[in-house]
Amino acid sequence: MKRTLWVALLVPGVALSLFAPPARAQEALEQDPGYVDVRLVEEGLGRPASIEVNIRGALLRLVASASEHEDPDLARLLRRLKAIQVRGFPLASAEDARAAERNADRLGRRLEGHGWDAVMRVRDAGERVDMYVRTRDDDAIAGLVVFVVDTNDDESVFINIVGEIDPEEIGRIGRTFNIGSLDGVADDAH
Amino acid sequence: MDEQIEAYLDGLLTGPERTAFERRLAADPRWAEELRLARLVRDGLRGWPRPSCPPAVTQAVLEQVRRAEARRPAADRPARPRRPARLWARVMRPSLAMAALAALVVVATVVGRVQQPPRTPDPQVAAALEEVQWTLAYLSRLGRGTGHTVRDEVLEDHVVLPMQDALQAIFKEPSR
Repeated sequence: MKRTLWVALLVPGVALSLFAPPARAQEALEQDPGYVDVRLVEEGLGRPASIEVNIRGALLRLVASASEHEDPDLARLLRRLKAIQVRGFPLASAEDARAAERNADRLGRRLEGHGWDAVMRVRDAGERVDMYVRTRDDDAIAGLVVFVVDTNDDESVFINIVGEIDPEEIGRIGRTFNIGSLDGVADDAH
Repeated sequence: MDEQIEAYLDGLLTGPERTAFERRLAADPRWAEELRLARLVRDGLRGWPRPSCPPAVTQAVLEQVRRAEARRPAADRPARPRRPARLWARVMRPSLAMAALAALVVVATVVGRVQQPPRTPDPQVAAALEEVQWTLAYLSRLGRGTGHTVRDEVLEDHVVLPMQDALQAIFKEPSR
């Protein structure tokens, strides 16, 4: 009887101690006002992404450290971020593009209902871009979400950057890098 | 989590703690990944060259210690010992020793930073850096492309069309 009681007490305790710390770290990010669960995008389209970028936690800190020597501006920007999430989907047909647009509409409405502001909507010659930001109480940006449906390049891209973001800084630093094809990133995706 | 991983890497966990930690590693790949990254950082730090203090700086610090000792009243000074090693041991009072040590640490840190070569990042970190750069470049391109569009739309809606309306009203053109 005693042994049963011990087991009954120990098993949940051990289970909690095993899984609680990483779960807490994950929960902390998920509670962040700038975070968006990328599964919503995948579920909305009903298929997995062909491109996945998930950079957060220790890896993000390592990337910041690695860029410190050659690009201190980038390192400074990355130190203020908590996560970078990207999902890319190829658009094989016009129906794929319409589905991606419907998904962007649906998620956009959902974001706006949860305190996000649409700061940019562009419908331009086969390219559709929706950008949302969420601000904190002190007006600093806590997160950024971008939906792109580009029928010229047959791709749909979702980006969520969590953390203290300065769009001007992103634009300035981003201009210094070459943008390759999505395939190049897909090859390295982890 | 970070503290436990550091303690594990430094061998500071007790037997049961270590066993529990290794069980966690086996049960959750996220722990294993965090451990791998922490090990990477540690090994990277160990790989850095150990900075050496330039002889001239060492000499200057020691000279300062000797001068400070010489300025002390003779009564406070220890009697001259017979062996140089003992003299040094007695002269190096804790406060002076600490001051000299602190100076050496500062100098070594500065010299070490100057001499520190750029390191080659881990392939996973390099790939992540590439992804970060790609994402920023992509966002930047969107900003530029859409900047033109927004500007054109704003100009069209708020400048060009109102002006046309105003001109048409003035000249009473029936075209609209």
